Amino acid sequence: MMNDTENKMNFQENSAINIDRQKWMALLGGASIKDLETEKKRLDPDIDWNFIIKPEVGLLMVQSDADGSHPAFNLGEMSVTKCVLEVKGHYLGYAMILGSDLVHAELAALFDGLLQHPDYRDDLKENLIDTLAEKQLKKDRSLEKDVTNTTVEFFTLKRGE
Amino acid sequence: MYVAVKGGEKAVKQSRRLVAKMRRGPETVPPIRTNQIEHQMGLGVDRVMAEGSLYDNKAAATALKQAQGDTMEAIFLVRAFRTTLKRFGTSAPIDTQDMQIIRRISGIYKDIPGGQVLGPTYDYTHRLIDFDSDEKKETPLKNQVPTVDSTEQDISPQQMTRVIDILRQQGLMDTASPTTPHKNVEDLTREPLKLPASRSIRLQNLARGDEGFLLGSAYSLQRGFGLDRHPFLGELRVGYIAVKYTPPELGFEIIIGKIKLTECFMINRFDGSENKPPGFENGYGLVFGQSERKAMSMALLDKSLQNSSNSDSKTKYPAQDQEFILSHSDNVESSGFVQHLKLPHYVDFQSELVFIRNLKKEHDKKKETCLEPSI
Amino acid sequence: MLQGFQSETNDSQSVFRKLLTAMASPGSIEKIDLDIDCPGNLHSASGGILLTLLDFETPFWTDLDDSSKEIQWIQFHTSTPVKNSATNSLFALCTHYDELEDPNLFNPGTLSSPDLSTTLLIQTRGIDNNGKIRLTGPGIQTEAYLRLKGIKEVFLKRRARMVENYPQGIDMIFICENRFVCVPRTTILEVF
Repeated sequence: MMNDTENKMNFQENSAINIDRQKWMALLGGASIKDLETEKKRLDPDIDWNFIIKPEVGLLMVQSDADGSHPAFNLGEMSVTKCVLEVKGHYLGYAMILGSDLVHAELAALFDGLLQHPDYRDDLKENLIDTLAEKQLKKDRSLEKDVTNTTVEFFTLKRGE
Repeated sequence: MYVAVKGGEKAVKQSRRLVAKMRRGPETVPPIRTNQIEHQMGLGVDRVMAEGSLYDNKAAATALKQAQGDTMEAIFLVRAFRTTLKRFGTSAPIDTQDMQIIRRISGIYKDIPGGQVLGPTYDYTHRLIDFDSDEKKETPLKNQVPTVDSTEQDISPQQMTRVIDILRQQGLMDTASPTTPHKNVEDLTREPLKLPASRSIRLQNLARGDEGFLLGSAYSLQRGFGLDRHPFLGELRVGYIAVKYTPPELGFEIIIGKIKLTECFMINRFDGSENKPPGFENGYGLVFGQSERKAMSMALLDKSLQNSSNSDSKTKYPAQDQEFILSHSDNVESSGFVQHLKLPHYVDFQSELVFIRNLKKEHDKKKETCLEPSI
Repeated sequence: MLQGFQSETNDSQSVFRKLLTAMASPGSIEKIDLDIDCPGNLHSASGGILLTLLDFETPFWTDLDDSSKEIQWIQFHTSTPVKNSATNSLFALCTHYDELEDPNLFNPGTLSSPDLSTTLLIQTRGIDNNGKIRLTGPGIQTEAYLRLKGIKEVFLKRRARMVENYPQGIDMIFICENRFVCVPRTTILEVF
């Protein structure tokens, strides 16, 4: 019994970290490269890290389950860039981003690694991730507003009216 | 039969030089940049991505520039480019219910939850060429068309129920069956087309097929070559969707990025058969980028090929015929075969010449012998 | 985690070229000159070849333990689905050469698709051309000789019977450190 609950708690803890990590990975992937570069300059220039997999462009097959009433199908591929690096000999930073920007993938992987490091996590969350989230939200809201403005009401006309 | 031809190296080099010169045009005009194409010729880029079967704005824009705007040449370049890249994996099936919508309309319900959202469309523009567009100073958009402050509440995508689901709730349409795990999905880029093809293969084929061919074929259906009933546009949506993938190294799902898609549901009446109750049937279209023509054509063809894959129905028209549609939809294949006629066929033609000369000789001889008695 | 190739593109191409050459002339020993840090008991030629040939769509079987650092490294760099059964594998790696007795455990392909067979990598204690195994067949001018240290004779005998079903059969790559030699299914092996 004891073991069981312990395991569960561990699992929950892990999944909580993963949810956090999923969030920041998505934001790093969607960020503008300029924002990432500026943030890197702010940090200690001598952070010890090395590549495990250098930024590499490849493909991901995009699959769709269509309207859900039939088997999934392969819609087509998309270019992605993958990068894995090791920060401070311990934390594996991972990035797979849309497109073929090698520098973006490298920076995203670096920040993913640093964000796992307790010395950097809180600082980066506050200064980078929260800012990125804010920017993303603003962008989404602005698009949403533009789109909402094009909502129409169609009226069916009666003859003779 | 083709014969290898030697020589021409110098001419080929000069031809390449000339094509580069033609592409550049007069040097008094500044060169176009790929990011200008990417952001200002977006629909052209979308088409190259859809038919190149590779979602990569930068690659598509660069290919368009390199091909001097020749869409099919650009598609060819993109297809060639994708063969040089390693595939990392397959995404989780994207769920279009989560789409961040920029356009969404329905032709069958006036009032749909979430409303009819016109979004960016040319449907309501005057088709007048604006010859002054170059001279116009860049006026901020808001001065041209004032923005409206919408007093309505924000519409979140979650509220935009799919029209097809409304029909399903009413029991007028087949309900969804669970999706098969992605490992079993057939892939045209791994296995050659085999007929009859499964629906997965048909949809993949149509999604990367030539827009013109799909449109013409769908049009033929509508004009009576295969459709005897009016189809209805259940829903057309354009928007962004997050592609998710689980890297085996991580073991949990991450969002790779958002891609733009056009999705179409085409509704057709079904009067019922022995095994199936009456209701509506769905034709489905899904395309990279914004391409409504293509998504709609795809949905019409999906339906007509579904019908013809039932054993009891006969194919009478080209657009109902799997082989006709699926084998001829790919424009890289078709342009390759048509254009191979430019290659040397000198020996083939020599044999044609010999053949025709002999026939002609025989023909002339016959004529002579026919004429003889009358002299 | 150890790094894989220094340059994915260049390194995998150079290994692939060597592999083609070696497959085309069975019995000739090739050397992989790349600086690859392979974990544990994985020979550097094995590492290089596997990183070149495997991806997430190539079923791979090995006698190494699932949780071993060798497997973790291979999986990390190639995403290969490890631990398919040997009979379903496209590629297989054998490290316990002393336990290797039956080539029929692997997939010989089918008559219509002999290409679906297993390519078997076997790590040995040593390979050289001064042995008592005589090689003849396509790609060999007259004959070649091999010594495969640690490989059991019973394995080679069974393999001789297996290749009678040509075009079905398995192709083999014998490895020692950074050197390797290919014995495709077309090569006849005789032990003196």
